[in-house]
Amino acid sequence: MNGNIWVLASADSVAIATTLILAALGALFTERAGVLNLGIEGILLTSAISSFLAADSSGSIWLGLIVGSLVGALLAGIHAVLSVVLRANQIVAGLALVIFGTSLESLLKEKQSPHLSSHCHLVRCLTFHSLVQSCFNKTSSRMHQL
Amino acid sequence: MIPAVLIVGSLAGALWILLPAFVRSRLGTSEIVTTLLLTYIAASLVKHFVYSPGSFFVTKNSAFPQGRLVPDSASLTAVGNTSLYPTFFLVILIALALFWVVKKTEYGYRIQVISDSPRAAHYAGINANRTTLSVMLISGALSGLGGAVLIVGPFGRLDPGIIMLGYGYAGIVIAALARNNFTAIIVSGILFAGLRSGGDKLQISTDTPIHIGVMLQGAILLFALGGEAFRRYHVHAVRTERATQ
Repeated sequence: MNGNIWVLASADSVAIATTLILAALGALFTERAGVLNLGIEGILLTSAISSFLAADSSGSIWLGLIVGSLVGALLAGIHAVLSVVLRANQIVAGLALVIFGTSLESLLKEKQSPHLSSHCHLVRCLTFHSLVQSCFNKTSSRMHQL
Repeated sequence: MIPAVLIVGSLAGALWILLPAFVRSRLGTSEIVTTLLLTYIAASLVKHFVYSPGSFFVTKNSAFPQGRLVPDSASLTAVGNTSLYPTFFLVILIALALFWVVKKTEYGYRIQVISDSPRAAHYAGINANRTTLSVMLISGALSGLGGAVLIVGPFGRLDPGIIMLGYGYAGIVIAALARNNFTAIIVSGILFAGLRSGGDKLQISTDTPIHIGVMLQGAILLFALGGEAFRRYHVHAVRTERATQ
């Protein structure tokens, strides 16, 4: 039993680290070009929900992956236009993107599960981790079906 | 009792930012990263205080982990039957006082010089380290006051929901929207508060999702930031033949 917990914890940490490493890579990549993108949180959440929606409606995991990346690139494009082309404050643009992205994600999530919309706090309490978990479970159940 | 709560809140805010401020002024560490990381620590601390059983901050014998109500002597009542708390007027006074400090005093002038050019400030004999430290301590105290105002005002208890509201990040956004003008902050703050409470009321009355209000805040800020460029640069539409001549 004790060993089982360790196995679960390590498996979980690899699953979580997949996202964390990608987010950190994105942050590092823009940092190299001298742009501090604080909006990664918002980009990540919006991409997560849009890739979930795409995968859910089309039934293809790969399409979800592509849509998620494209949406992420689109949102990062907003930050790029603001901070590079229009020379706005990078930090504020990033925070605006966090506010915009997280609320857009919550909005889409509520649309996805209308029975939860009356329990707004419940929806808010669903953290990103649980979203990933639900995507993960859904994916693995799909794999079993296949 | 209430002034004591507000003062202790401010002092705690100043204490919390002491480490980032010290490291920033001595070693030049990016205050963005240190304060961002300390925010997570603070949020976890509040959660620990509220969710750990038998904690000083929690109501005893309650099935649901919930912050203990502060005593009546430390809680304010709203004006009339509105939800306006007297602390609002204190906040307006502070905003005006800070406007005066930055515009009219020698200390405010020093801050302006350091923000424009740290090197020029150094040549002018301004102690940039000490001024940066004091400015950050004051800003920490103001944020701490913001937390204390929530405790004496609407919440009346330590509530982890305060973290979810994201008032601190909204503060950065409001300051940016006011284009770093202390009196404009009052207006943009009320605008943001209106969007937030309007979203709440819309959710209740028409079942519009609450997140539309927050999304609108983000969108407003993104557009305001983009529009800033048109204020700074004059955009001319020129035909290409004429431009190349």
